[in-house]
Amino acid sequence: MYALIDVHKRYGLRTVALRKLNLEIRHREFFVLYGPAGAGKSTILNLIAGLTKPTSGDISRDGVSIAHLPPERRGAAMAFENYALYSHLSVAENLAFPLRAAGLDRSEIESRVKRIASVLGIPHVLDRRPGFLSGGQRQRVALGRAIIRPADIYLLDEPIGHLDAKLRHRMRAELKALAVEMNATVVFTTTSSKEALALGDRVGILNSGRLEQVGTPAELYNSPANTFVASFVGDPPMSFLSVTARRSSDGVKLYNGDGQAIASAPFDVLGRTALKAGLRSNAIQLVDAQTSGALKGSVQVVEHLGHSNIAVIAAGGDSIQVSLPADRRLKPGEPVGMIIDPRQIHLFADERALVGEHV
Amino acid sequence: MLRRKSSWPVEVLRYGTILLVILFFFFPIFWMVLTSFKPESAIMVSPPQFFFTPTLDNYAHALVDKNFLFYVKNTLIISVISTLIVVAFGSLAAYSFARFNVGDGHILFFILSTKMMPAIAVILPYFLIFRDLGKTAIGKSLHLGLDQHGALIVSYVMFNLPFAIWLLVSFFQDIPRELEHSARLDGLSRLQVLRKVTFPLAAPGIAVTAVFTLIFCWNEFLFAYILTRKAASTVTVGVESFFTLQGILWGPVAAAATIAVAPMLVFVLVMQRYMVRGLTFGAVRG
Amino acid sequence: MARITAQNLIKRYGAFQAVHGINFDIADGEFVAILGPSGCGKSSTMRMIAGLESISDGAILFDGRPVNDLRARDRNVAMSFENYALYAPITVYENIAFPLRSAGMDAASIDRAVRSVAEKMELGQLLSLKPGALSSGQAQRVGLARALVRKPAVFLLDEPISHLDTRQRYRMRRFIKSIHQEFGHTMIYVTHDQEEALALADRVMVMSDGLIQQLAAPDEVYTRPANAFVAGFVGEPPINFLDFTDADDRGLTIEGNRVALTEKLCGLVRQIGPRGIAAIRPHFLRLGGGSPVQLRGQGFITEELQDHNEIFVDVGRTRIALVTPPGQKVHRGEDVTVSVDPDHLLLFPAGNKVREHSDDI
Repeated sequence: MYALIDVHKRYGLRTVALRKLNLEIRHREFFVLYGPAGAGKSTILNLIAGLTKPTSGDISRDGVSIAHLPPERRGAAMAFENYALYSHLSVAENLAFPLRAAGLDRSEIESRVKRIASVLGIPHVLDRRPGFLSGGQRQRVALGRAIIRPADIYLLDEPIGHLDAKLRHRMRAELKALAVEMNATVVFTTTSSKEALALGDRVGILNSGRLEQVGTPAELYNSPANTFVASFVGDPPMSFLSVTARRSSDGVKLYNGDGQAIASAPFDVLGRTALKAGLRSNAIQLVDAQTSGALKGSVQVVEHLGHSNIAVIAAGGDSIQVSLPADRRLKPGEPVGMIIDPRQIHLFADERALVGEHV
Repeated sequence: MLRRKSSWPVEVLRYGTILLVILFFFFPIFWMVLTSFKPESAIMVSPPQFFFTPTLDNYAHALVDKNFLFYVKNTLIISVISTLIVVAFGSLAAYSFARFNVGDGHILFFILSTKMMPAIAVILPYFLIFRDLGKTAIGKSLHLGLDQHGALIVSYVMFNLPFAIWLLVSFFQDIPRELEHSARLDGLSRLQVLRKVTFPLAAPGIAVTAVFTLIFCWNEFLFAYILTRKAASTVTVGVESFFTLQGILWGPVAAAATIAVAPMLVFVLVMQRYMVRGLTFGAVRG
Repeated sequence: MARITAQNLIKRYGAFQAVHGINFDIADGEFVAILGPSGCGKSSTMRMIAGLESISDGAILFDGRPVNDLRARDRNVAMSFENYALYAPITVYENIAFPLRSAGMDAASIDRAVRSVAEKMELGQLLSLKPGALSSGQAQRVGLARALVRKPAVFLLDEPISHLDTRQRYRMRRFIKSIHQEFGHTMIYVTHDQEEALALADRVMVMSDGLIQQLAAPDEVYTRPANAFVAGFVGEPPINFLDFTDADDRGLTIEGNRVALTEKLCGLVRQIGPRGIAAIRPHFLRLGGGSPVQLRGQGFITEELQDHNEIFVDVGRTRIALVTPPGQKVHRGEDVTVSVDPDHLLLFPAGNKVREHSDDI
């Protein structure tokens, strides 16, 4: 088990990469660090690997501090986002590099290189220099070099980020299967919500050097801690409505900027200010504009995604995304009504999630 | 911008211009080689002669009477040793500037600023230093006195190192850090990483630096002229020695100059391929 | 506003030919996305429309008038770049005003034009800032505003949002779409992201190897791809390809599974021959039996994406993906049956044969 304890990391005098970060990577878990570019994902990997030192705080393995240990004694293997392949060596020599450094004998090295090349589907390029490979092949060589030798922890920095969509989808499944098979502890960084949900046993969401939330994909999707997490997990992202809670004849209701009731409050939020209601695109049912009790709005934009459509509906100053079947046709400007399931409303006050007993 | 196909007069004009420029730059070399084969009577005549009976007299004079190969040997020793020292120290220094940001850029700038001084401004102090150094025990053992190889080597190293470091820093900066990080994780020590990863990748850049340094040392005149008399003189000074009180021996001068230039010309032609690769060098990236 | 026509358009770089004589016709006010992998010729095509690249052969016409010999600045084309290309030392206001100033417009008209476009682009508050103080999404909007302020006839966008993060991408995508609805320019949008192309465009022009593979509405490109390339490039998750053999009038064999064919597909099989490629989107597959077209295989892995699951199944030597409702699962090595929606089974000739598609002019 690796842990970062109160880690603060600054580059130079001004750039703060990580702020008071506490993170635990459990034994044999597939941990995904997910966040926008520049959030500090690579910095965390570099800290674990020992390639950079924390400005303050500690890094430990199984409860023992390893902050002072050099990289070669951290037990980490790493794949770098920009591949970091040696352009003066062939693919086979690149793959063999960590094994040579470990002093394995020639025949053992050769058989391992062959095995890993066939797992990654690159046996035909072993003799080539990295300069003559496609981006996808380079990325697989980089991945191969990281997993070719046994390590206590595998640090994979956006290892499939540069592959084309088809390969990326396939490699995602294969990577997960490989990790399960190897029984490995993996830290994987990504900027894709789908990859985070598909791969992670647990996911840490990073924003400007701070961990916003750590949890299983289901926890992050169903109970996001704040609006940042809510808008970052799930595809398309959650829509937010500015609402106020008021008592009406049949209980407390949420009203949008137009003063329209959008739904009953799922729990008591009277008196809370700066309220936002978060809705996933599949939590809303689109109905005729005249339907009583429906939230009225007008269609802004309709996007055809092939297997489904997304309509963006303007209502009370908010833009709300609604998923529709592919054959449902809508025109921009068309008035529509929306029925919202109160049980699927996520409520936030001052950007933080409110939790309460659902009625 | 739209680029259209040019008509033939434009093409003629373009290639004509290129030819003229080439002629302009190559003519002195051409004339030097031509003169080296001319009999004395044909050298200074006006109008200049392009057709004459070639002779090897000038080469004989330069090589036999003046023992010009002695200067070539001196130059070779001094240039090669200077270059080796410059490259060795330069790459280590440049690496630390590129990777550890030593001195936050200020030292790097300071080092280059020494290049801004004209050589003539420091030649007198150099002369005095080496004159006195030559009298000390350590100076004697390292041949650091006037008219000794060591003095010129030290001067050339001092003069070339700043530029070499400056050039090499950019080559090292072009090598992604991740390449070294990855090797570190594989269990190599910092020095092993340097030897097995960084330097092989920087080789084209180092080669370019070596070539520039060698060319500079080979062609240098001022230091060699002031700091040597005979024993450690280089080709440039050797050529100058043909300027006698009786007059300038143009034929032997041309022959000696041709001999002096030839090795560098061949060397640069051979290295050209590597130099172009070095100047466009970059590691494999996305 | 302009209608854009390409006639047998060719682009060569020395001996290399990047665009091989393509034809298309983009209606006035239409939004067309040019979609394709890197090196497919999409950027060359756009740059020829913009006048940034010479036309090696063929012609580009604006409203029926050839523009081959018009310089970029005389074509009344605006272009927005991925890196926004803003001038750092001057304010947002001056950045937007820049093209008008260089056109020599008077100060009052410039002010009116800048303020009007800034309001529509929600930049009113930012006019006095310098580009360095903007977020990437804001900088992108300024870039778009600067392109729009000259009231161009054609608006070209070259991968304008590919570097933004997911949330910003969604927002900018809608923003661009609403600009189109508001201003009504002829818009051409180059991208390698199929979702962007489908979401934004009235028609999608799929390019590969310097040829137009298909030019059609998003739904059409998705459900009736012209060839295997288009089928594979469009759709998320990517389409599944399986080799088929022994095709005859009644059915065909996919990885050992004998499959009955519908009337429509039988006609197609007669054209293709006994061997070829079957393609089926992950959304049109489900776990379990009950369809005339069934495949047997072994489970590989289940990915739980919360609002749906993606399940990988090995059918013979081919690994296929399914999109299922949440909760469905397979275990590794488990025997499973997969049902194919026969209406969405696509058949293509073997060898990924790519056929040129050109619109009649």
